[in-house]
Amino acid sequence: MELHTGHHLIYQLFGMNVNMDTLYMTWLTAAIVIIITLAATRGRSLVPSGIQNAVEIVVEALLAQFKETLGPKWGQVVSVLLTMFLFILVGNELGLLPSPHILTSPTNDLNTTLGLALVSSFMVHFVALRNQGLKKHIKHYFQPFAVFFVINLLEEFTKPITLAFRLFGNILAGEILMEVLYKLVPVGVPIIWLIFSLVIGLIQAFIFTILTTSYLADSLREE
Amino acid sequence: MVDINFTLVIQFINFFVLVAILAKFAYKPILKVLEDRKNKIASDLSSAEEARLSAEKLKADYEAQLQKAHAEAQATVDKAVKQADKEAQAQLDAIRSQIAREKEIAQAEIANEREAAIREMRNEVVTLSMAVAEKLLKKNMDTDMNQKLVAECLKQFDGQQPAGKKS
Repeated sequence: MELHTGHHLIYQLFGMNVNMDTLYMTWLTAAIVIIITLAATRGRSLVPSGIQNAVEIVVEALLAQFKETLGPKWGQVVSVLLTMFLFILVGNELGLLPSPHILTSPTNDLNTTLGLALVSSFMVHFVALRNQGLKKHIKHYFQPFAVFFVINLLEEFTKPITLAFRLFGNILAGEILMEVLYKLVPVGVPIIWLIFSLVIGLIQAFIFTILTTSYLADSLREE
Repeated sequence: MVDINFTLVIQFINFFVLVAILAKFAYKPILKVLEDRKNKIASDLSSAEEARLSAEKLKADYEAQLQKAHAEAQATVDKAVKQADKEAQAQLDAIRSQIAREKEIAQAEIANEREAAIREMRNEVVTLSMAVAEKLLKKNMDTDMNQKLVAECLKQFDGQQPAGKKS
């Protein structure tokens, strides 16, 4: 049995391999996110309705989490975190649309999820340097004791790797199972898995965003 | 299926481009609307609280005024009742003193009358005694003698009068 999911359309760019299908889906996802959020801001009325209301509910729920976790400096990273959630959510659900071999999730490619995880790591260091300075940022690797340096350093690698593989594994596995189910039992059963996958897509987007938020919380902390 | 290539770098850049676009065109207005709404709700709540407080103050003022009006009305009524009492008492006193005065006058008149009656009776008695004595003595006395006798008799009578007054 030949599975389509997980195979990429590879092009050469500057002598390096690029998964073009992933990039196409990334741009499509980005376009959808932009269209939705712009549509939500078009009205800008104080009493929201329609898509403005829907987006505001999501944004407000996330903002509540960010504010609680990040404290007063949440504004510095709110754009990155909101984009992370919306991009991953839309990307995850995009692969569930019934369009065999055309639409896939950009998040079923490790390059995408690792890219997002590196964004998370980059932001952690960037924000820490900006708010606490180089000295303090380096010092925190040796806390609470100098011995912890190894563990702290290891964490810098495990954090993005776990973020990337958790999302990648969930989405890829979901799409593979979906494809397998369609081939085995075309009627009924895939629908159940589809509903399940919708929820998984939401949960994974939320987990990725919230974990990044908690990593960023250390970088934004005062003292 | 799992191979890391240049896509990773492109995705990294892609994401920040998306962040830049959304931050400029979407998040700013969304966050502004949320902030505006929050401020509006806060100001609405505070103005509602202010309105409630001023209404309460107004109510307290009205109640105080009502209380004052009640007290004033009560004071007026009390004053009127007191005044009426005072006037009635004054009239009563005037009547009482009037009665007392009239009683005094009546008593004085009665006393005068009695005095007059006693005097008359005394004269009568004297005259009668004289006549009785004249008859008894069968002797005509001269005027001097007569006068003397009368005076004596009167003297005697005056001496007896307290006993006679008592009866």
